[in-house]
Amino acid sequence: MSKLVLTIWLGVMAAIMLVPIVLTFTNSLMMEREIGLNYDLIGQMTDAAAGGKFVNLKVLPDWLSLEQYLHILVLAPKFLRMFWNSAALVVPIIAGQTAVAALAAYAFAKLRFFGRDKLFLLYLMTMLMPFQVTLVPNYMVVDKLGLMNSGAAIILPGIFGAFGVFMLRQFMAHIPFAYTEAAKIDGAGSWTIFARIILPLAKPGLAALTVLLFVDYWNMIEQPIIFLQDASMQPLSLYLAYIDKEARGIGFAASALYMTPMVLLFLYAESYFIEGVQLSGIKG
Amino acid sequence: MDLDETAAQSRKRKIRRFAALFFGLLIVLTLTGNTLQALTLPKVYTAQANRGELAHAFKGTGTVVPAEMKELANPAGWKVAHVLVKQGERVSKGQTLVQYDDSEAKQQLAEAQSALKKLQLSMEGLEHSYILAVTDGDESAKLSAKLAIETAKLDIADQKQRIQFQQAGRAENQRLTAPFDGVVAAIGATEGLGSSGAPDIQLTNAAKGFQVEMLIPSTIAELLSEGDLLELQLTGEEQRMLEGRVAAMKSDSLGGNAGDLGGGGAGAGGQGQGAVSSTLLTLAVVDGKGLKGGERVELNLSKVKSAAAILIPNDAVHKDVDGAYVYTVEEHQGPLGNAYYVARTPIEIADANETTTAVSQGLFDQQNVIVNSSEPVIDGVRVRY
Repeated sequence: MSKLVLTIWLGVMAAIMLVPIVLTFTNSLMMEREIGLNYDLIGQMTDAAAGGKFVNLKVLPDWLSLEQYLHILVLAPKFLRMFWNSAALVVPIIAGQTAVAALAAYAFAKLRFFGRDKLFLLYLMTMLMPFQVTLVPNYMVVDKLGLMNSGAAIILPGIFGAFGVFMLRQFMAHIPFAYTEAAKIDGAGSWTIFARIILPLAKPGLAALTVLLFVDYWNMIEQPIIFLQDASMQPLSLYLAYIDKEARGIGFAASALYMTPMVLLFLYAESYFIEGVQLSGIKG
Repeated sequence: MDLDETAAQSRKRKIRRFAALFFGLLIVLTLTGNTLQALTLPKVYTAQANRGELAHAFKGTGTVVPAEMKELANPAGWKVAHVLVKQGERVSKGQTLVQYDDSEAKQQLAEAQSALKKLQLSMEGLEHSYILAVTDGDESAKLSAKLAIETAKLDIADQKQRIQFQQAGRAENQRLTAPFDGVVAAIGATEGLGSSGAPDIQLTNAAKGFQVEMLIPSTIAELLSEGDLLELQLTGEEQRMLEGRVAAMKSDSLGGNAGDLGGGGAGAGGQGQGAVSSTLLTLAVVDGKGLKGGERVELNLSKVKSAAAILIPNDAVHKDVDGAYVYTVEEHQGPLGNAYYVARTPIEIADANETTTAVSQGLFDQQNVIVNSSEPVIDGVRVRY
């Protein structure tokens, strides 16, 4: 009985979570006018023009239209350009941060050295501070390094982010010492242990980190706004900011395309992701 | 467990496939973006603006006509007896052209002569009565007879003069003579008939030469001044060049279409193409030897008005309340290739003929202006180029 209640409860919650995503996809297939009919009335309970009926949020388009997609994919090259800008920022960050974080996490989790836990705590401190706090020093450093208005201003801080180190350390801490000790007895060095034992076992953690980093950096707003003044270099996350009320249809289509890589990545790494998040103790 | 594993594997494969499709599509669209875009954009056709001189050209035909034509009328209104010349015949001064029937005049002369005779006869009677008065010694009769004789003498003199005058008039009105060397242009006289209202003979004055009149557009007429020499091509059997001197120019405000100039309507004072106010140009033929009148001549005019300017086709010029403008193509360079946009460029028109406009301001040499487009374009529209 309690299972049924739980199922219903979760079903309702899942439906609420899914509504925006579903609406984004369906609205992206509507004509601009139809979207206007849908959303101009939001905030009012009844539709005076339709004889005082309740506002009807349409889910299915009256007339299926790929016009919005045609516009952003063919007519306006801006979207695609920003899409690849995003990819060019996110891919190096993920590759770099997982590589750096895996090595650092291995050290923090499996190697013994003086001041290890204190150093890790210091590392965590940077993670605890929100981006806005470190914004000014960050800006000054980037400026002094002459990286303003270049992708490196975003990629380099991204690669050395503390989150990956923290998450992978938590994950690797759960790998029993028995494995590493057995390898050590067999004569394996630190590198062999890392590459042959820890890394394969940390796969779910790496997958989870990849998904989380992707979501984090695919959606970043502050960094590109501050460090990339050149509009032609800005990533897709800023595209929606350029869309005004008259082009909502384009906004929906852009949003649908915008979240596609994230959804695909999540679906692909779903099982690893859940395992990784569970084991590393990061939830929610 | 195995089943789960297989299901998970196939799910992953599906996701992989979809991801590949998604990114493949995006890559293809990115690479072909410019091409696809180009296909959906209006295509514009441009012409290059060039520095040069704007020539006003005109080609028209006209007819050679004598400069002076004299209409010779029947002097007395008598019947025509003989016409002695033919149309087109060259005549010299004093030559008789038409002879008239003078029988009426003859009659009048005979009457006058018989009246004179009567007067002379009555004179004899008066002399006789005078002699009688003298022999009678009648003074008063003698005086009155003398007065009568004197009166009769005056009458006779009068009558003689009248006869003389009539004789002279008859000699003069009997025939029509050429007042100068010339060519008979038209004959109105018909033998056996009196005056028909039209002049009996139309005679052209060979000394005054020939002229050509034609309507030319005023824009070109402005570039001509009196005394200018223009070349005329004689068409027809005898093809040779004539020279014409601009003798007179009279603006023809009623504005028939001059020559081959197309339409245009009544755009009085309009600048540029279309405004067709024309001018009647009179050219005096410099050496009219061998001309008879009626020959067709062709005039080819080409005149430059202003100094060198930027020349563009008339099709590229647009006008609205803000003045004249052209659409130029602006190139915007982007990381994914160049984009072309239509830009409205105001210009100042210096001069124009039927095909070309000379621009004094707003354009530079070698600039591309839009002449035509597959769809109507306005300022700021992206186009294919």
